[in-house]
Amino acid sequence: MPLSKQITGALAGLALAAAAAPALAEGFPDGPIEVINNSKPGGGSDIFLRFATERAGEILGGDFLHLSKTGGVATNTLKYAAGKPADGQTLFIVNAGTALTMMRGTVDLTRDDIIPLVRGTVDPEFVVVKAGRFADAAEFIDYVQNNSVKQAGTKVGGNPHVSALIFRNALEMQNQVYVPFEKSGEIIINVINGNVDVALLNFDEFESQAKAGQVEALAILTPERSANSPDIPTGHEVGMPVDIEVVRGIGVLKGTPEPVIAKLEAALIQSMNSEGYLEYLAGSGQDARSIAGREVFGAQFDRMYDGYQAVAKELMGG
Amino acid sequence: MEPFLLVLQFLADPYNLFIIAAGTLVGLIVGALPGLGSVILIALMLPFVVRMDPTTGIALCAIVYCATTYGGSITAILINTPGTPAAAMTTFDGFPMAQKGEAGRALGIATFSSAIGGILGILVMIVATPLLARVAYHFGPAEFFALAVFGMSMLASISGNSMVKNFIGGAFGLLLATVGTDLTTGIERFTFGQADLYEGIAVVQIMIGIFAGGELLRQATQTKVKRELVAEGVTKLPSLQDFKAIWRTVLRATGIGTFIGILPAEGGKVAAMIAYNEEMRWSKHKDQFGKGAIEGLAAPEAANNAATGGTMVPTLALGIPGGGSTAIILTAMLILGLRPGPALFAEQPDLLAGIFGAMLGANICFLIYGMVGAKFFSRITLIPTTILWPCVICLAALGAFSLQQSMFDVGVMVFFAILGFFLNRHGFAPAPIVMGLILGELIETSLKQSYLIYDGNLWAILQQPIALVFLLLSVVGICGPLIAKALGAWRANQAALPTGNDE
Repeated sequence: MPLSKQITGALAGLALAAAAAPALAEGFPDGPIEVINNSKPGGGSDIFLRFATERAGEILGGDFLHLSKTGGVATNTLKYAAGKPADGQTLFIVNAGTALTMMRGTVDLTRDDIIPLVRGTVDPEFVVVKAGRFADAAEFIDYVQNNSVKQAGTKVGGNPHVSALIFRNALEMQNQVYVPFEKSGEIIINVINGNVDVALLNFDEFESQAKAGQVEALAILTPERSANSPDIPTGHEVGMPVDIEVVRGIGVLKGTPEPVIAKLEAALIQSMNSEGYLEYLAGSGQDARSIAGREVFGAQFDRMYDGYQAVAKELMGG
Repeated sequence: MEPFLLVLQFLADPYNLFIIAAGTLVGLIVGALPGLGSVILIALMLPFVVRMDPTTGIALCAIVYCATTYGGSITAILINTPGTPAAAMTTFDGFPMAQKGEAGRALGIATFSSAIGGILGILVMIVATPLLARVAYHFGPAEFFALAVFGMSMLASISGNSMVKNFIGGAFGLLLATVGTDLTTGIERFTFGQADLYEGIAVVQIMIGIFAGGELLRQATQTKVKRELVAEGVTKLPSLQDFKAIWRTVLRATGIGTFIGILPAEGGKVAAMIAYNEEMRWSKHKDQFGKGAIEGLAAPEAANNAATGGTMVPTLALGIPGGGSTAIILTAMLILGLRPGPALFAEQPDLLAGIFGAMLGANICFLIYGMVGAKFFSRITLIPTTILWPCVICLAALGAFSLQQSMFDVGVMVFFAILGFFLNRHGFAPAPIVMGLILGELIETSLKQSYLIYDGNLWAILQQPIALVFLLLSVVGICGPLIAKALGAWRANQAALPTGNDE
C-alpha cells in the first residue's frame, strides 16, 4: 500500500476515533455500572464503595450495582473484573489487597492492566499499645529492638500483615511474632489484656479505648500529625520513620476509552465531595484531602506496589 | 430508674412506634429468607441510616438486627431451612414438630422463647452494660479455646444416633471448617486451586444444602407416602402447659445467650449451639431431643435472641463490635458523629434509651407478629410436598446465590444437598456436623493463636483461670453422666445383692 494511502487511512482512523470518543462518553453508562469489592457485604471496602458511589448514579444517569467477590485477598475481584470488557461498566476496588494480589501473580492482571481512577480514603495507622506499658516511643523502640515482640493483626498474607512486616523492618525489630485475629475488636482486647505487645490500628478502631485510658497511641504513621489527634506525634518525630495508611480507591481496566475514564473520574470525585461521603470520612477522622483523582492516586498506588515488593519474598514464603 | 423512664419515653412517641413496627416487619422477612441476614440488610440500609436523626438511625439498625435473628427461625421450623446460621439449631427440634403436624405450636414456642430471651437480654443490658462489658477484656484465645471445647463436649450425645456416628459427623464438620486459607499461616487448605474456596465454604451454603436440599431429596423418595395433616392441629398455638414447661429453659438459655453475646466471638450461632447442648445435657428426657422436644426448640431461640442484646454490650460500652452486624452499627455510629465507649453512657443517655427502647419494642413487636402470624405461616406445611419442596429448593438456591452472586455457591449447596441426603440415609444426623463446623474453626484458630501468644507452651492455657474453669466443666460434662451411670448400676447391683439376714 502506498505511503500516502497509509497516512490518509491513519488520519481517517484518528478522525473517526476522535469523532467516536465523545459519542462513546455520551452513550455511557449503557446500563448499570457494576462495582466489585473484595470484602463481604458490610465489610470495610463494601461500605466505602457504597458511600463513594452514592451520588454518582444521579450524576451519570445510571445505576450502580455492588457485588462482593471475596477470596484470595483480591483474586476473585480482579478475576471477575478481568473477564469484563474495558468499557467503564465495571469498576473495582483498588487498595493494598489489589497490589498484593497482582504482585503474587494469582491473577493475569498486572499493574499495567489497571487504572487507579479515584482515591477515597487515606486512613493512617497508629502504633497502639496498652496504656502505661511503655513510658514513651523511645522505650518502645528500645524494647522491640532487644526483645521478641508479639504484634497483632488480621489474616497472615493480607494487607495488615504486610504493614506489620514493613513496620518491623523500619524499626529493626529483633523478632516479630505476628498473631493474627479475625476482627479488629479482638485485636484491641488482646492489646488490653496483655496477650500482644502492639498493634497497628486506624483511629476509629482504638479511639474509645484510648479515651477510657485502656490503650494509647505512641505515634501516627504519616508525614504530618492528624487534625483529630494533634497530640499524637508522627512516627518520623519519634524514631519510627515509616508511613503506613489504609488507602482505598476505585479502578477501571486499562483500555477503557479516555472520554469514559474522564467522565467516571469527574462523576466519582463529585459524588465523594457530597455531604454524605464527607460525613463518612469524618467518622474515621478524615476529610476531603483523602479524595484524589487518577494522577495522585496512580502515583500513590505505584509507591504502595514498590513498598510491598520489599517484603514480598518473605510473605510468599520465599 | 432513670434509664427505664427514658426508654418508656422513647416508646411513647408514635413515630418511634412506627419505625419499630416497620423495621421489625422488614427484618422478619429478610431473616426468614435463607442466605440473607442482618449483616446484608444493615449494610444496605447504611447510606440511608446516616442521613437520619442519630437516635432513630441507630435504633432502626438495632430493630432489624433483633427481627432478623428471630425471622431465621420461621423457615427453620417450617421447611428445615435456617434463615440465618444462628437458627441452625432451631431446625433440630422445630422441623420434626412441624412434620408431626405441630407447626403452629413450634412457631409459637419459638416466638415466645425468642421474645422472652430478647427482652430479658435487653433488660440486663439496660441495668449492667458498663459492668458486663468488662467481661470481654478477659477473653483471649485461651478462654475462647476452652469455651469451644466446652461446647464440643456434648458431641458424643448431641444426636440420638450412635456415639461413633456422632464423632464421625463432628470430625467431618471440623474438616469442613478447615477448608480455605488458614488465618494463622496463610496457607490454602483443601481449596484444590479453586479461587472460590480461598475464604472457605460459607456456613450458610452448607446448612442450606444439608438441611433444605437433603430434606428435598428425602421427600422425593417418599412421594407415595401420604401424610395427613389436619389444619386445625397444624395451626394450633402452644398451650399454657407448654409455656410452663419451657420457662426454666428460656431463663437458662437467656443467661447463656447474653454471656456469649458479650464475648467478641461468633455471637448468636455459638450461643444457640451451647444453649442447646446444655439443655440436652441436663434434660431428663434426652432421647426426645432431635425428635421434637419443645425445650430443644426453646433453648436455641432464647439464646440467639438474647445474644443480640449481648453483642450490643461491648459495641456500645467499649466501641468493640461483638459480631458482623454490630460492626456495621458501630460504623454508622461513627459516621453520625457518635463515639461509643464508657463516656457514651454519661454523655448520651437519650441515644442509649433509644437503642434499648427500640430493641425492646422490636421484641414485643415480633412477639405480636409471630403469634398472630403463626396460624397463617403454619399452613405452609399443609401444601402438598410435591409442590412445596421444589419451591423450597428454588428459594434455597436463590439464598445460596445471593450472598456473592455466585453460581459456584449454588453448586456447593447442591453438593451438600446430595451429601446430606446420603448421610441421613446412613444414620448420620446433621447436628454433630453443624457442631463441628461452627465450633471447629473457633477451636483451631484459638488454639493456634494461644500457641503463638504462649511461645509454643500450650500448658499455659491451663494457667488462665477462666479457661481452666471451662475445661474442668468440659471434663465434668463428659465424665459426669458416665460416672452417674456407673454409680447407678453399682447401686442397683448392691440393692440386688442378698443380705446376710435374708435366710
